[in-house]
Amino acid sequence: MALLEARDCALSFGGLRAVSGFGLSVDAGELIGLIGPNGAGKTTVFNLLTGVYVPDSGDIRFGDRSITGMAPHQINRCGIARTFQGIRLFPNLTAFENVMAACEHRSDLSMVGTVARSPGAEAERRRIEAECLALLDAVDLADRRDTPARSLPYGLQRRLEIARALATKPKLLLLDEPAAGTNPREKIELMEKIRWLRDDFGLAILIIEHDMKLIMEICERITVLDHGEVIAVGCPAEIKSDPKVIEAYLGEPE
Amino acid sequence: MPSLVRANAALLIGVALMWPLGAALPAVLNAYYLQIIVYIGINIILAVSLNLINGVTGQFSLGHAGFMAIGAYASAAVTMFAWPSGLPGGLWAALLAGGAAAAVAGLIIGIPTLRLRGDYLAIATLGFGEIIRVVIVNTESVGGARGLFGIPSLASFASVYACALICVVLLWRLVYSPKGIPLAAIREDEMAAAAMGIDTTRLKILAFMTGSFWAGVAGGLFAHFIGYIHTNSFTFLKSIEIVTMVVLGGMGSFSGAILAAIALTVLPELLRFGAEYRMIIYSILLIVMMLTRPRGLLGNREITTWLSSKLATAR
Ligand SMILES: Nc1ncnc2c1ncn2[C@@H]1O[C@H](COP(=O)(O)OP(=O)(O)OP(=O)(O)O)[C@@H](O)[C@H]1O
Ligand SMILES: [Mg+2]
Repeated sequence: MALLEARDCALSFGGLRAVSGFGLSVDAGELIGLIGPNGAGKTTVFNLLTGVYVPDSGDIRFGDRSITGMAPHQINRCGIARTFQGIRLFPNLTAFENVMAACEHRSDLSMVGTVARSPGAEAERRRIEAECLALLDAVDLADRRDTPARSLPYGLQRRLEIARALATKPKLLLLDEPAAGTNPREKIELMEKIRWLRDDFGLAILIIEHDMKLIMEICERITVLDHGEVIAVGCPAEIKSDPKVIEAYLGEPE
Repeated sequence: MPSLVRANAALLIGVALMWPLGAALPAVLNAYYLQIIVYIGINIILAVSLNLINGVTGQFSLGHAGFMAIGAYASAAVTMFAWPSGLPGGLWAALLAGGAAAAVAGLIIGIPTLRLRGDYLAIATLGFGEIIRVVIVNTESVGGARGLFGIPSLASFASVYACALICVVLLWRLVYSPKGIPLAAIREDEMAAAAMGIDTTRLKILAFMTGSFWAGVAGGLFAHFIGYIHTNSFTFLKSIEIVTMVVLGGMGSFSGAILAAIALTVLPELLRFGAEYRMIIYSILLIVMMLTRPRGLLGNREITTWLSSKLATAR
């Protein structure tokens, strides 16, 4: 059974059909690319999958249940985490606090225990702190733990966003242009990191990225969107030679 | 249990020390100064608890004086009409009742308004503060427009500062724990917080109720310190005064809120300004603050972290 299964999803903003007839299936542990020209509807798909928008029609299933219409925090708790195209960290919180904020719902820390400093709550707090530090370490940010997120360089902010998403213990991670705005060397490092995270954390990853070379290199399967519709699905080699994909990219009116 | 006592030993000793301190103070300070010091303690509770709502969680409440009023009247009702005379512990039962009543009011206002993003809470709490006053003025059993006389003078320096210490320490522990960081995350970016699994509505309501609870306790202390309460003590202007303390101190900073609570209690007394000038001064203070230090005196950081960073750069 697929981990994520979106069927025939559609969403309009007023008169604009941003996404229509969208379908996607992701298996556990898969690394899948979502590509398409600017304005194709990729970010909107992420917003549908994470509950920011509810589809006008269609159904999204995760594991064995439908998540259509669930609130974003409920969907996250089911096991879908994301990063944002325009970075949305908690700017005035430190790198460490950013990650810790995302651990909230997973801990069975009680409010009373916390303020009374009960031994159980203290042990749980230390466990969470160790876990957050390990996550910062996994994206090589451990030495920046006390830096406010807003003061981090752009590339590190992108990595912190990934660590924060991982703190929610997802089964599926959605990355919206994680390499945007980073230099070529950082880009390659990041892609290696993503592959490593997938293996190490046993995640399925759905990634939006404009850099074709990178996408073709790391993804097992690719879904191509154009004008809100899926125009091709397949392995990198198939996508590369698909006439509709070539037309979508070369024949853009802009 | 023993480990719980050990973990809180410093706090418990601090609380216990308030009584000998309170007994010693009248020897060195006259009643006027003592009264100002008690008002500072009450204002610290109000500022720190509003800071949890406005500063930490980022929800703009303009009704803190309303919750203080609920706490004041509810607790006075307990000691005057419910608690058996002669039985000790009346003040503490009254404070708990006052805090609980304010928290319930916070829940009732919070549920419809905190689901929504934006300024709904500000508008709702603004109206709520006024509604509470109208209701009290028209309730003869609590004195109506004349105010409520004859509240037993059970609160003192010791009980006020014991409560202030407990309030500051418990809220500090909460805010800087894995349970409290998500509150700040809501302030920073509510959409991102929700995407990280944070039930933003639930936590906002919880923070609002907790802050309201302590406003109720502050109201109870106030009532049992001066022995007479009137709705004039809990007007919109009082709410603005508390907001000024939080904004001045730096949204989200405990030390900032405490310093501002002290300053804004002492300053009017020092300058002997009438109430009519006070609001002008607050407005000017706020404007100057927004222009020169838009993030407040201490930003959202604590004086401890500020000092250690100053020391680090000096070295
Ligand atoms: N909240 C919104 N309200 C109105 N229109 C929107 C909204 N969000 C997206 N759109 C529109 O929907 C279409 C798809 O946008 P989307 O952001 O999903 O594209 P994208 O594929 O992510 O593009 P890019 O590569 O530039 O990030 C665009 O035409 C966009 O203008
Ligand atoms: Mg996009």
